[in-house]
Amino acid sequence: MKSLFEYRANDKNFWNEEFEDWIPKRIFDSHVHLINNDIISKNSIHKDIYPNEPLSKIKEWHRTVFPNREVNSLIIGKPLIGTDVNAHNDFIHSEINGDPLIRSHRLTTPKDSLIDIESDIRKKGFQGLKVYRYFSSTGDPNECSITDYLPHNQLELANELGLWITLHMAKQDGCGDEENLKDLEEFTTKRYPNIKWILAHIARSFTYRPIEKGIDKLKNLPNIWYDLSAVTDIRPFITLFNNENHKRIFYGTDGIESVSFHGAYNAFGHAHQQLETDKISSLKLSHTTNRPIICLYEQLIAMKQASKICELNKNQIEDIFWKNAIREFNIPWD
Amino acid sequence: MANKLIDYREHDKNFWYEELEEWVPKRIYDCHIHMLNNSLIDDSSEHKNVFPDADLEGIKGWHETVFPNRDVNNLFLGRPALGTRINEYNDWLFNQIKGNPLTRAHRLTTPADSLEDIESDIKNKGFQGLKVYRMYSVTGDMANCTIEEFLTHEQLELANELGLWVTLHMSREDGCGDEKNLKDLTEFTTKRYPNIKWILAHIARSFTYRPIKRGIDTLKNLPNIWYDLSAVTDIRPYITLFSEENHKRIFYGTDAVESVSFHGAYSAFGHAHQQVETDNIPSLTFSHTTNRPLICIYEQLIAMKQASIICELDKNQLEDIFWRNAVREFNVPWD
Repeated sequence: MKSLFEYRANDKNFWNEEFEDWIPKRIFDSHVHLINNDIISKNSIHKDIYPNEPLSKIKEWHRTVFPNREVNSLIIGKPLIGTDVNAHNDFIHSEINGDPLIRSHRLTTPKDSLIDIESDIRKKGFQGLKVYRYFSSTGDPNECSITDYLPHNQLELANELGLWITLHMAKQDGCGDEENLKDLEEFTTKRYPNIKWILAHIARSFTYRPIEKGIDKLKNLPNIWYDLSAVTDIRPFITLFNNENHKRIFYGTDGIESVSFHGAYNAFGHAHQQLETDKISSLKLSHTTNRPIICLYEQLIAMKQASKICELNKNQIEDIFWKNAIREFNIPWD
Repeated sequence: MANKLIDYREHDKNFWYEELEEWVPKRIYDCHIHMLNNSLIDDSSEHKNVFPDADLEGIKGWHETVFPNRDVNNLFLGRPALGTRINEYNDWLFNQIKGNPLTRAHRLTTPADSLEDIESDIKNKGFQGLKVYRMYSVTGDMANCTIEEFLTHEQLELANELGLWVTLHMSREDGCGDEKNLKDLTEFTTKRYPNIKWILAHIARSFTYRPIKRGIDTLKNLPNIWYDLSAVTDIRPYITLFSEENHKRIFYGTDAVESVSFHGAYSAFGHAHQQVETDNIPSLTFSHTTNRPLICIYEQLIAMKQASIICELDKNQLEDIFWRNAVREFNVPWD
């Protein structure tokens, strides 16, 4: 299948105008996925909707979107329905092939056995789990609670092993949802104090409200980190940068296909949705020669502008882009 | 009447009470609002009957709907639509607001209008200024024309002589970030037409972050420059304006009716922007949430609210922006 990623002249120009002087020379991408369609069942709605994306493809993509930058990654399991989970995790392990500068989180569903999980952690170098609301035992990916897609027996194992967990929260208010906040408080302060949580997508704040509602609680909880992946609205960045310890923030892309289209994850009131400008015929932009940029650059410009508003300094930007990950994941990137 | 002009939904109302009821002042002076009368547009015009008529009663109903329990007065701007019979339109506008001491109006003005007509309307019909628009550019290119191509020098001279206000929606894709526009405004305000008072509509036409970021260092040092906030829904231009400008030079405005009554926003994509009317985009199903898009006017207000908090504007400054600046500058006897 042909790549869905099309890097255009206006993307390159935007990089040169806004990012070349701002983005650090090193990036640790803490939210990126590999795809192998061969291990997705034939009858899955997700089969072959995206091209295969082995590690070589990720590296090529990074070279394109982050020109002249050194990039290493935390590869997290790709949640696609019909995926042979063990085969996907074997694929990740095999692709990484012992690279000491790469980390990975094991794709994990409620059906996975504790034996498989523990074995992968101990033998295949996964430092944590990637869980996802698609796999909720309730069958409802939108309104499930954390334990619906990460059951207590898996949480107990993760606690015992001191694992990282990348969590994309469900429920429409994400980290602004009271049950999500209550669960995270209980898990971090009482029941599972050794688990280290990475709350993906600014704790799932694609609009301003979730993080605005959740930040006062979250900032006081131990073992909470955030990744910035795929958020394109500046407001969640401002709330996060103003209120959180920047040492708890990781940069991530959600590459490849989730951020390679032209357009953004637009907020409309409290709702948000992906808006792929190439596919909306009414978006003619006939009054201007300016053109939409890839979603990844919408994320970066929001992040850049928020960092200026919040007066983050150069060192703090370096921390977010790579040093925090290096420190927390014990990566020997000298 | 209000129901004909806006599809105001339950979640719009809920949003008002969640975010705006306690924040929006009790008084609003809407400095960018249009009346529409399709009978004054030629039958052959592509703009004929595209939108419903909106007379003064319709506008009042609209304001009562979107700004519940607020006192609202207005600066009415002539509505630019191709094929409009200009003198008839301005007469109609005059008759709609005649005798209301709390209302002001800017005369719809095109390059084809005679100086005699303009001066007569100013002196006899109470217009305090002009509403010009790029659609009437003599070049025929509304996207990339210069100011003088839709407001001629002889009209500028008259406006200067009479000390008029001019509401200006800048052309050129960088709006107030465009060097030619900035050069013209510098020359007009500091040298050639020092008595004209400019209202730069839509945050000096900054629907994305870049124009005002590029233009603000020049604009903030020019005399006789004001801004209206109408129709801008991206928070970033507000942050730049509120951080850099004297808040006394900022007027609130809506750009009602139809330009801000749809559900959706004027979304920025890189340096481009366009109206995104969510009801008309089938792929926007929002199937993962029960939250739904808002009317555009509330997108403007929430952006403005959040920017004001970030920029630490106080309650008095907000009152100034929402109505007191207009009352002061337009000499409106709203006690």
